[in-house]
Amino acid sequence: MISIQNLTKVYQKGGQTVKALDGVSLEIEAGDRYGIIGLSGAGKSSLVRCINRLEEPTSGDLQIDGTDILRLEGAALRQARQGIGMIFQNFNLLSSKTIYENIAFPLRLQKLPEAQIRVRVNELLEKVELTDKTNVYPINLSGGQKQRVGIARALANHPKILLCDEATSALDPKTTKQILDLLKRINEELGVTLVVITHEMEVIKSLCNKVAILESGKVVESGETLQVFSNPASVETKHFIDTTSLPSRPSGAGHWLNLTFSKGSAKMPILSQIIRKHDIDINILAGTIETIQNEPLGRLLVEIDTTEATLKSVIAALEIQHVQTEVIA
Amino acid sequence: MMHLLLPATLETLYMVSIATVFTLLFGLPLGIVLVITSKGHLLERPKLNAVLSYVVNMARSLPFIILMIFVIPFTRLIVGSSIGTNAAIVPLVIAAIPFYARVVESAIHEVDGGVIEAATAMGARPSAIIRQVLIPEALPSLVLGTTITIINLLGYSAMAGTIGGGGIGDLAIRYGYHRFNTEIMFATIVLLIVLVQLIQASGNLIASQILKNRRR
Repeated sequence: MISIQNLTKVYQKGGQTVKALDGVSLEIEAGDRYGIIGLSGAGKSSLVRCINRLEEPTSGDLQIDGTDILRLEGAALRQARQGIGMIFQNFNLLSSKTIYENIAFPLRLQKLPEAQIRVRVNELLEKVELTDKTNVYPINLSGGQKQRVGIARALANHPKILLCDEATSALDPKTTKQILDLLKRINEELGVTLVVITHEMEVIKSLCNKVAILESGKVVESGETLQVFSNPASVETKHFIDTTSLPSRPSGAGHWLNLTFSKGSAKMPILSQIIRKHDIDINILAGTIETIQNEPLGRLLVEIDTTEATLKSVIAALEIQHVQTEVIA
Repeated sequence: MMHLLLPATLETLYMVSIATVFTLLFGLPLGIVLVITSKGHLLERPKLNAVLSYVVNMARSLPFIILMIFVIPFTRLIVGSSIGTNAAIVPLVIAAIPFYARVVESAIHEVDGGVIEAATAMGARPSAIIRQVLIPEALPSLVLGTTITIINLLGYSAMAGTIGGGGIGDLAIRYGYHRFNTEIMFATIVLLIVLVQLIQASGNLIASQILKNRRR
């Protein structure tokens, strides 16, 4: 649906050349909840803004349903934008307009008849559960309510794509969950493709079926969320996951192993079998179980004090059972 | 004394209100153009912006009394005469436009860039963003800025007496200064103070009403 090929954005800042995007390629399919995660300055904000041309890429190719977005100008670009909703970290509601008028804004741009606007706005107010706030101004709303207005406004034109730019970063954890649930519902019920920009691992885990990790303007890894999290291929991804979950290694004896259990391996007594079979002691240092896209993903940090040879056979035994094993040096 | 004060006050109100209308008419678009052609804004045009900014600064460097004399040929072209109340309105407007344009510029610049970005993302054309986003969002600041401009015009209008513009300032100079009539001098000062207070108070009231409405 959204096909991004070799997208580059370069700009000058204080006499220096900054590469915000450095050859990004992504395939986002219809119905995806596609997460793009990275630290601040990784280029994710530029990337999402290239999709609706709020920013102009320097080079590359970007197509939405076969339409070359980068070639559109004037009225054609504005029309394409009407089919792409967008929500923002700071909500960006009009303080001079009521909630009703905020949601009606994109419809008024198209000069739709008043009766039609009223029906659509009321429909949207119901969808985001804000019918009691119709004639209130944004200043009276909580952050979560403001974002729901933002979502309603973004959906007004029945977009196929919804761009979410750090949509929950200004919200507390409980409100974040409500907004993520709402976004998921919108994706499932209306079939709207979500492109989710975030620096929060939790957002990716609970919302996104696919993820791309962006670092210094480059996609270092992308794929199914569970796959990427349970078997990270790149150092950057591991770093990203590690800094958010397991402790770092203090000095000490023994070999440290990082074990990741997913689907099949999560429910079996693998460790106790290995202890008995190899006659070794295993010390569990840390452990977490996460739910990613409704699948459990367990991680254990263990210490094994044994010879290199035994260690090798232990690792082999673990990997036969589909436990991802990583030796921490 | 009233037979002097009343016509003078009416002349002042006439000059200031007509001048205000024309100032808004030209100054508001100029101020908006100054914002939207600036770097990173809706219709970025660095050269046009630099030229306009230069012209505005130039016009603002001239003291009103000099500008008034300087534009006499232009005034004659527009109203057919270089003296009288109508003739005074031309330099008033010319002096107030660049001032008001800067006032508008700073008010519109305050509008959150995120809101403009959101409207752009919704496919709004620049004219719609100006009318439905920039002006309504900046309205309280615009009202206060307009108030300052009207008070400025009132001040300038006092100098218009020198070209026979009439008004309160003219009265103060002719009777209060040249004829040492302290009563008239005192009365005109009180009148000007009251007028300024009234204008400022109305401006404040309107701006705070707008804000109050938006807290509903």
